[in-house]
Amino acid sequence: MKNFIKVLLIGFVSLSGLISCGDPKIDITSVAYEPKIVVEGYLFADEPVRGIRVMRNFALNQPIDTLSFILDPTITTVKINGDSLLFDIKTYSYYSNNIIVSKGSPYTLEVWGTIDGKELYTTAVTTVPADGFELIKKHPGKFKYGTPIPMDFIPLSPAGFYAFSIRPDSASLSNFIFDNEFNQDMKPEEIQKNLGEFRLRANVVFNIKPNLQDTIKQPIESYNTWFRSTYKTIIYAGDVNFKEYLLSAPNVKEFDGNFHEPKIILKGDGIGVFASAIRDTAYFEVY
Amino acid sequence: MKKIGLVSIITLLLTFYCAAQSGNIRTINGFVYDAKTGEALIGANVYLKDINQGTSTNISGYFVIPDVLNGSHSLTCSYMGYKPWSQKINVSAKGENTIVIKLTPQSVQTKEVIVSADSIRIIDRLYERPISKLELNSTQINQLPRIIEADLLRTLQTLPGITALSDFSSALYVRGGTPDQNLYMIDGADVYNPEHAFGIFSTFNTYAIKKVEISKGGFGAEYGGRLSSVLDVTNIDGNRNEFTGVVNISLLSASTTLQAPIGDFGSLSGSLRRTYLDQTYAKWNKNIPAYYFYDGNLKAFFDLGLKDKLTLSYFGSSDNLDFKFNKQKSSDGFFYDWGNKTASANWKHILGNTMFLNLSTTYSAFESNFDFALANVKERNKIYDLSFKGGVEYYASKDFSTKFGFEQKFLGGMLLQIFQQGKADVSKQRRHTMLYGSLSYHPLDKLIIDAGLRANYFFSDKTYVDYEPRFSAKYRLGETYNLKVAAGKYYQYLNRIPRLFFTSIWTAVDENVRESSSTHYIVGLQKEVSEIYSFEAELYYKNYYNLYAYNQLSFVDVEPSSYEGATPVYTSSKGLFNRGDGRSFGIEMMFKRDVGPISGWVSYSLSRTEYVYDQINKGNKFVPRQDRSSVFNAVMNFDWNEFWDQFLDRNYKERTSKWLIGVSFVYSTGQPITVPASSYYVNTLPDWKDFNLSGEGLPGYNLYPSEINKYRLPAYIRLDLSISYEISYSGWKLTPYLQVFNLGNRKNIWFIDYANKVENNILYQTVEKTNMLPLLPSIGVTATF
Repeated sequence: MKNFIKVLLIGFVSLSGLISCGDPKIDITSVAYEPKIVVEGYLFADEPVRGIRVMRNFALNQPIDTLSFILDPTITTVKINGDSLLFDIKTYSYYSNNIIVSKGSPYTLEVWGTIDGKELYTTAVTTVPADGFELIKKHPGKFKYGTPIPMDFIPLSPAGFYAFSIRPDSASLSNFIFDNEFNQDMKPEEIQKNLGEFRLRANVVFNIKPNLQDTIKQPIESYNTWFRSTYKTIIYAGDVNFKEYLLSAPNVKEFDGNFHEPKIILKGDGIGVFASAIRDTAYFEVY
Repeated sequence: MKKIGLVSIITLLLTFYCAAQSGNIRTINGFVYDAKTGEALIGANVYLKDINQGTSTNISGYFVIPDVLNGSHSLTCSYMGYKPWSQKINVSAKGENTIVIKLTPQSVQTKEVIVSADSIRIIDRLYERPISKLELNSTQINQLPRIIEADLLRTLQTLPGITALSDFSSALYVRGGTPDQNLYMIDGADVYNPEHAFGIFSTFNTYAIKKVEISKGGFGAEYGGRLSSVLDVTNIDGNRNEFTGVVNISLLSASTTLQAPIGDFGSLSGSLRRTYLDQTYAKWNKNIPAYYFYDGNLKAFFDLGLKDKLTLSYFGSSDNLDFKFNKQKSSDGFFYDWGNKTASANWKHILGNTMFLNLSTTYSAFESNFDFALANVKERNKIYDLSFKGGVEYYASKDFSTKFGFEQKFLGGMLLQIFQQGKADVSKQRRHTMLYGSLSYHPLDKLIIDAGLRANYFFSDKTYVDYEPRFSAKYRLGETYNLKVAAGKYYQYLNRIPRLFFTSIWTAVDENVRESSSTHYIVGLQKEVSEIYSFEAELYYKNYYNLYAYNQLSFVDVEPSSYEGATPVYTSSKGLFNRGDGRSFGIEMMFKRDVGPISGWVSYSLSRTEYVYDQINKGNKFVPRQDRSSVFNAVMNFDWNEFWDQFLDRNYKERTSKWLIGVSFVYSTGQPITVPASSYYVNTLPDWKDFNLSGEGLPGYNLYPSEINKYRLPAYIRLDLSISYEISYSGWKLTPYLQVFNLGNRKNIWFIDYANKVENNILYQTVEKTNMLPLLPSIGVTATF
C-alpha cells in the first residue's frame, strides 16, 4: 500500500505539474456565420431622405475589403413607404428627392438584398419625433480647457432622448492636449493609434420629459474635449429606434468579454439602425 | 382539526419527556471544550460505545444523549485535531449526569492515535453530519496555498460542487447557483457583500475563525431565505486561560488576532487586518491608486453558569479607493468606499437536561458611497437588517428529537444615484417573519428520518406567504456505508444586481418581481475506505422558478416613476430584471483524508446548469457562465518531516521546527461564453459617417453576438504551492512562508477581445485573449504566541 501511495503521489505531482503549464489557443471559426443585411439609415425632420446605407455583415476570421461592405446596388432594392430609393455612387448610399421627412410621421423601410447567393429581406418603422428641442445658445463662445462648456436646451421631444456628437474641426497630434486632466504620460504613437476615440465623442440623455418651463443643463466636460480647436456639437432629438440602437448595439460586449444581445430594431434578416431625429448644431472653441 | 393535531403533538412530546425521566433511563448532557483555550468545540462527536448511542455537539459545544440506562458506560469523544478522549461514567438517578469534556489538541495525529480504542470511526462521524454539509477549521483554511492572503471563500472554491468564475473573484457558485443564492453568516448575522478589493478577496479574517460549515443543499428547516447554500462562520470566543495571539504580515496586509480571558467567567477575542499598499508602493508609484481595506472583529464570551452562556460579537469591514487621474493635482478623480457592519448578541440557556434554548438579536448593514465630481455622478447604496431569532432543541428520547423556532427580520434598503441623465432614488422597508419546526425520528437503529417545515411571511408591496417542506433520511447501509437522501423547497425574496468593480445592489420582491424558488433532490453515499480514508458521492437535482438576472439593457428599458422638472427620477424595479427558470444537476465525489502527515482531498464533479429566460437568447435554453461540466480538485497538506519519517519507517520524533507543504490543483472545463457570429460597420452617430476608414479600433465597428454561451473557453488548469517553515520557541512560534499561485504559469484565458484595423482599405480582424493571473509568488510571516 505504501509503495502504491508513493507512486500515486509522485505520478500526481508530475502530471499536475506538466498539465498546469501551457498557453491554450482559441479558435472561434466553429461559430457559424449568418449573413445579414446591415442598415445604417437616419431620417431628419424637414430634410429629404439621404444617406441610407445598405451593407452586409462579415465573418470574423478573414480580412475584408471595406469597399465590399456596401451591397451591390444592382441586386438590392430599398424602399421607404413604398417609394424606391436611388443609389448615389459618390456616397455609396440611397436617397430620394420625393420624400421630405415630416415631424410626427411614420416611415417604413424595406430592403431586399442578396448576400452569398442568399436572398434576404428586412424592414423597420421609424416615427419622427413631433418636436425636438430649443438650444439656449448656439454659440456659447471660447473656453479655456477644463472649463465646462454650457450646452443648455429646452426639451420638447415626446421621445425624451437626446444625443450629442462632439467633434473638433481639427484633430491631430499638433493640437492634442497633452497636459490634460487625466493622463499626462500618453505617448504620441498611442494617441495616433486611438485618434478616432479622442476625436469622436458622444453623450446622451434620455427619459427627459418635454417641458417648456425647464432648461436641461448638459455641460461638455473636459473628458470630451481632447484638442485645442473649434468644435461642432450636433444635438439629436431621436426617436425610440435611435435610443435603442445607440444605447445597446455598440455596447453588446461587457468588460469581462461576455456579450449580451442588443435591441432588435430591424425585423427579418436585418441588423443595424433605421431611426429618425430632429437636429441642430452648436459651435464653440477650446483653447 | 388543526387543534386536534396540535394537542396530539403536545401529548406525544410530553409522553416522551415523562418516559425519558422515569425508571432506569436517564439523559446525559454536557459540554466539550478545548483544554488549552477553553473554546467550546462545535460538531465534536460524543459516543457511548457500549450501547452504540451518540450525538455531536451544537454551536455551544453542548451535547445531549437521552435514554441512557443507569449503570456504567464508556463515553468517548473525538474531534479532528485533538487527542481522542474516553472515560468510564456511571449513570444514575441520583448522580449529576452533566459532563464537561476537555479535549487536548494534538498537532500531529499518527495512525496509531487515530485507530485507538478511544477514537470514533469515520463512518460514525460521517453519519452524524447532515447531507451535503462540509466543515472546515481555521488550520485547514490557513494551510491552503493562496493568492497572497489566506481566504475562506477561495478555500471553499476547492471543494466539490463549488466553483469560481475567474481568478479575480472570490464569489461562490454552489451547484450551479449564483452568489446571491448563498446565505453568509458570521456569528448568526447575515453578511450581504462579503468582498474586498472588487471581489478578489473575501471579508472573512481566517485567523478569527473557529469553524466554517457549508451546506451545499438540502439544508434543514432552521435555515432559509436563500436558494442554494448556507455558509455559517463561527468566530473564536477567545482563550479563557491565557493571553494568546497571532500576527501575520504578507505582501498585501498586516493582521493580528488576540485572545484573552475575562477573569474566570469569560473571554475576549479581537482581530484586525489592514492592507498597506497605499502607504508603501502607492506613495512612490503614481500608477498605483490609493486603495486600502481593513476589517476587524471583536467578540466577548461570558460563562454565566453551567446553564447560561452569553456572546456579544461585532464585525466591520471597509474598502476605500481614492483615485486621482493625476496624483500631482489634488482635485480630479473619484472616491469610492464600501463596507459591512454586523453585530450580534446571543444567549444560550439549558432548559432542563433535554432542552436547549438559543435567543439572539443581530444587526447587519452594508453601505457604499461613490463620488465622481467631474462627471457629476454620485451613488449611495445601503442594505440593512435587524433580526430577532429564537430556537429550541428538544431531545425527547433517543428516538425522537425536535427543533423549532422563529426569526423576525426587519429589512431596509436605500439607493440614491445622481447622474447626468437623471436620478435613482429608492428607499424601502420590508419585514420577513419565519417560523420553523422539524422532527427527527429514529425508528430503527440504522435509520434516522428528519422532517421539517418552514413558513415565510414576507411583507412587501404585497404579502407573500410560502411554505418550505424539508425532508432528509440517513440509513446505515452496512458496516462501512451510509446512505442519505434529502429533498426540500426553498424560497428567496431578495435579488442582487451584480456590477463589475462596483458593489452589488440588493433588491427585494415587489409588484414587479416575485419570490424565487427552488426544489432540491439529493442522494448521497458515504464509505469508510479505511481508518483514515473516506469516500463520499452525491447525486443532486435542483430546479429554479422565477430567477431574476440583471437586465444588461435596463437603462434602455427602465422608465422613470416621476420627474423633478424635466429630469427623470427612477424608483421602480420594472425593467431591471429578466425573469427565467432553470435547473442544475450533477454528481460529486470526494476522497478524503483528514489526519496524519498527509491530509486533504481529491474530488471530481460532473454537472450541468441550464436556464431559460424570457428576454435572453430569444427565449431558448442556454447554459449560464458558471456552468462547468467537469471539475477536478486535489488539495494536499504535508507535514514534510513526518511524511518522510513514515515513508522511511522511522520513529516519529518531536521537532522544534518543521516544513509544511501545501499543494492545490484544479482542472475545470472552460467557461461558456458568447462569441460574435459576425461583425458589421455602422457609425455610432449619423454625422460620424464622414470619418475616414483607417487606423485601429474603428468607432463604427460592431460585433453581433451569436447564441448565448454556446462557445467554451479552453480548460482552466492551475497548480498552487505553499511552503512554510514552522519554528517553535519557548512559548511562541514563527512561520515564514512562500506561496506560489499558478506555479505552472498557465495562461488561463479570462476573456476574448476583438481588435480591428483598417489599412489600405482592408479591414483586418484579430482575436486576442486576455489571461487571468500569471505565476504569482508572495511571501509572508506568521507569529503565534
